[in-house]
Amino acid sequence: MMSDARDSVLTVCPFCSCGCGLYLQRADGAINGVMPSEHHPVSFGRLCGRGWAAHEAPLWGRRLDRPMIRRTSRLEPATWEEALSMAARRLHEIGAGGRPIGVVGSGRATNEENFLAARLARGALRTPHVDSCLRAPYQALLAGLDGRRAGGDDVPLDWTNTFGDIARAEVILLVEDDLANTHPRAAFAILQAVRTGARLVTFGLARTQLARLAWIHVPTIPGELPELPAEVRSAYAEASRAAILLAPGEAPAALGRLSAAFAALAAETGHAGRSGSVLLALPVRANARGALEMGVTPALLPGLAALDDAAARRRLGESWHGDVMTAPGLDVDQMIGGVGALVVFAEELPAALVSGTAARAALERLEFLVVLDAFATETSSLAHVVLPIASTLETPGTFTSAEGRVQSLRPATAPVGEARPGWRALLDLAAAIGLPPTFDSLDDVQRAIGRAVPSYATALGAGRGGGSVALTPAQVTALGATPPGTPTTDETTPGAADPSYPLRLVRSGAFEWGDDPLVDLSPTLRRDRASLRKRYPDGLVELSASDAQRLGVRDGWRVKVASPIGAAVLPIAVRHDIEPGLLVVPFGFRDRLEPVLGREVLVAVRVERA
Amino acid sequence: MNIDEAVTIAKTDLRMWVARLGERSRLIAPTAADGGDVVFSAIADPEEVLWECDNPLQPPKQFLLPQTDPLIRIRRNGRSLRPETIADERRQILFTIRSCDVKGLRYLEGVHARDLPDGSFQRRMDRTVLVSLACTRPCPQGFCVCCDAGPFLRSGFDLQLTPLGDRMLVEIGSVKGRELLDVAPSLFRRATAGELEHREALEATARRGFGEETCHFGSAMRRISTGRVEATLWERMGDWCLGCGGCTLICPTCYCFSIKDKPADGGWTRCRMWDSCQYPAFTLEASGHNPRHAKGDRVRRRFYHKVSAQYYQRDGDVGCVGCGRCVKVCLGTTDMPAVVAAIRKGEWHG
Repeated sequence: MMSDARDSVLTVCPFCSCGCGLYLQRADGAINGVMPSEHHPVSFGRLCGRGWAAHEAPLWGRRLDRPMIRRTSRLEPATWEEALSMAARRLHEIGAGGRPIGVVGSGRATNEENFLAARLARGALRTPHVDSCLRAPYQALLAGLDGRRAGGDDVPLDWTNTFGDIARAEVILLVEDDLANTHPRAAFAILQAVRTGARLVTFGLARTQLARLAWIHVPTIPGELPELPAEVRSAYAEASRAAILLAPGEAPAALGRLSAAFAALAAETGHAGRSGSVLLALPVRANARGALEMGVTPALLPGLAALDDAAARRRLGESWHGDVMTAPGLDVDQMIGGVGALVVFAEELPAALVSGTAARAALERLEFLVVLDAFATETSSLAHVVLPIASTLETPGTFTSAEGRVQSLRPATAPVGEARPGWRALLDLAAAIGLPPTFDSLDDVQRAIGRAVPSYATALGAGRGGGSVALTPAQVTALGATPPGTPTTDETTPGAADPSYPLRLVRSGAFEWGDDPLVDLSPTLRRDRASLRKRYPDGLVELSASDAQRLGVRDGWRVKVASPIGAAVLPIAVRHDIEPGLLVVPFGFRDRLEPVLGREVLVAVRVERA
Repeated sequence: MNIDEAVTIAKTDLRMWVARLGERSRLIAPTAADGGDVVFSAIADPEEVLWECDNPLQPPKQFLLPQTDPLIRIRRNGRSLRPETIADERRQILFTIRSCDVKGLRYLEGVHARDLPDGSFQRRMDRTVLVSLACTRPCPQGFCVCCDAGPFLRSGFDLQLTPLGDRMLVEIGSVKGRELLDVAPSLFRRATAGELEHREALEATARRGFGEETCHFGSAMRRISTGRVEATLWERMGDWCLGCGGCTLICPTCYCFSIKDKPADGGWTRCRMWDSCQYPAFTLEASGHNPRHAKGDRVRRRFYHKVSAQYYQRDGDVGCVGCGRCVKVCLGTTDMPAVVAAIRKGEWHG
């Protein structure tokens, strides 16, 4: 199963969606470190702080190494047969009783695993409720891209869209939370560009590292469409090569409007599809794009095909060797509390769901929870059946990066204990439920993907270097025709400001990597990126230094934040990089501020010392 | 140079020599990896050695200081705990490493012998033989001439190889090196005066290849050591650094580490692992205070360690071998040549 016996195995970084390559280093057969790859077409010999520690979580983290079942109140070891048959029996019972079942795939999982998760849902369990965390904001960004092309609906949109192009751009428009933290490889491309004279314009909540280097920074609140200064518009229009990068936060509806506005700008100024110009959406996770394209979404089929696309249904039926359930389903946020049973693949739900730690209570109330993961997490501790799978360092498969590169992972060591490759575990689970496996190997699975999603047939067959995929206008249209996520009333209310609520509270969409198992289980990363939730167990809300001074509060002091919806009391953290008048809820504390925000991303509030 | 200290071997006989060496020792050499890169790897066959290639991005320090290195096994013994040293006693030959890397390993040897001698490092170093390949032309990012670390060395190696047409010159730097010749003595003969002259000429040509530009470590060292670098310079530099830590991890003279215990067999394995002064919480104290909270402070710290007089005096050498790896690996713009230039000029423009 291991690709070769050498000491350096080339694979793909498992963290963000930039798609950097790296070597897993082995000593005496065991992984002991990583090394960059000079010739890798994305990373060219570089890695970020997370990438340099990519080996740590699988090496140091609490691993799931045998199947477990909960017969009484505790999880106990079991054989694969016992665990699979218990899972199949209970899922059948719940399904037969008319209660919905949901499947959660993952941006941390491979294309093959996500494809089989979608098959588990729509093929084996016959449920339309299949989704992954953090999919909705990314889908919203993609849906806004300009689908108007002269080439026709199925011709790929011809943006070149590489980091190399960004480094050579003359003007760069960046919508970010903090790109230097969320997507360092992309931030490096911007540093290269600015160093050679490019003009950078940043749109974001805070004056981040890149904002400090920008020509113009436009303070922008999630949920609001920024005003494009006239000089920015003309600089962008006059440049021969220009780049737009969209790194999503939250508020899917607003993100859709945002990306549509930027895509329209690109079309109007002739940059759309121009060689050297870029329009790139950057999802959080390594394989968020792949998960979406493999059908882990409640409103589309694999290949980003509409649910009523007859040709897609037929291809899928042939690929899955069975009927395909094609109704629309619940998204991942609706599933929590909305289903009787859940099958969760490689995801730590409280870390990634919008409902945050509040999800734990809902998970505890599930009739049945099956968790497949490599790591022991809070989610796996609540499961009724735990199926141990290989980590991304131990499994072959592919990831699709933000740029659209389909790259191969190569295993550098065997899975631990009785863990199986994730694709094998999903096939076995589907078989136990009643959909027999017609695939024997990973190659078979990849061929099946190619039959269902023709663009991936070429990409997966492209050999060692991997191939790439590009969206077609038909796919963009399909993305846009479906609601990206649970509707939030994130329409900003532009009406007259209520003087009794003079400030604004906004929920930051910047993903809290500190809560993700890949960071939390790595000794180096959890020290340097300790999650805010761990560092501040009482929660916090951030406000500007001038507002803090006006209110007479200091770092760590408690305030009462009240909106028309409700109130909360919690400590503050003073920031010197946000505008006065704005309070920020970090992603890690979104559930603490739920009494104040409700389902909104932005509300008017008043604040006083508590 | 003493003619007794140099021999030559026909290039066609190198394969045999390498095969014999491999019988008694782990042989680590540049090899071709999956992704088109050259990586140091333990070889199973002499054919795997790449003789004409760029210096691998990864530094050979990992064979003395692995990225994750089990040091001590801690076993439960009734109610007490019993520690046992995990001793790596394998012999290894680092084969065709470059002059800069030889210098780097000798620097690390010095650091790990001073104050509290590091048993694990020394045990490995005692069993390691350094066979270098002199560089007959500059590499694109290298500046070893500025650090007295190449392209050829006069000492520090156990053996130094120089390609001379169809023969390879082998300069003997130590007893350890001489012993490597004993595995196949018939393959070697004494170097002629002409061959030694050829070697000198190759070195001179290689040095000239670096160009006319003067080296600047001296002036940078003076400025940095006499407080003539503005704090704001480091602040601005910090904005051009993404804190990846690559510079320190890839650097042949960096050695910072962390210690962590891994549960194993009912006890623990105490491991040393690479760490970096560039990481935010590297200096975070239990009180919550962090003396290097700002990124610019961490960048400054790195260059003080590498270039300032106090470290030069303590360690006997500047903390840089001019290999150029930090230029290749930097995820920003703060590599050694760029920062040295900034220190000298007092300016930073990214």
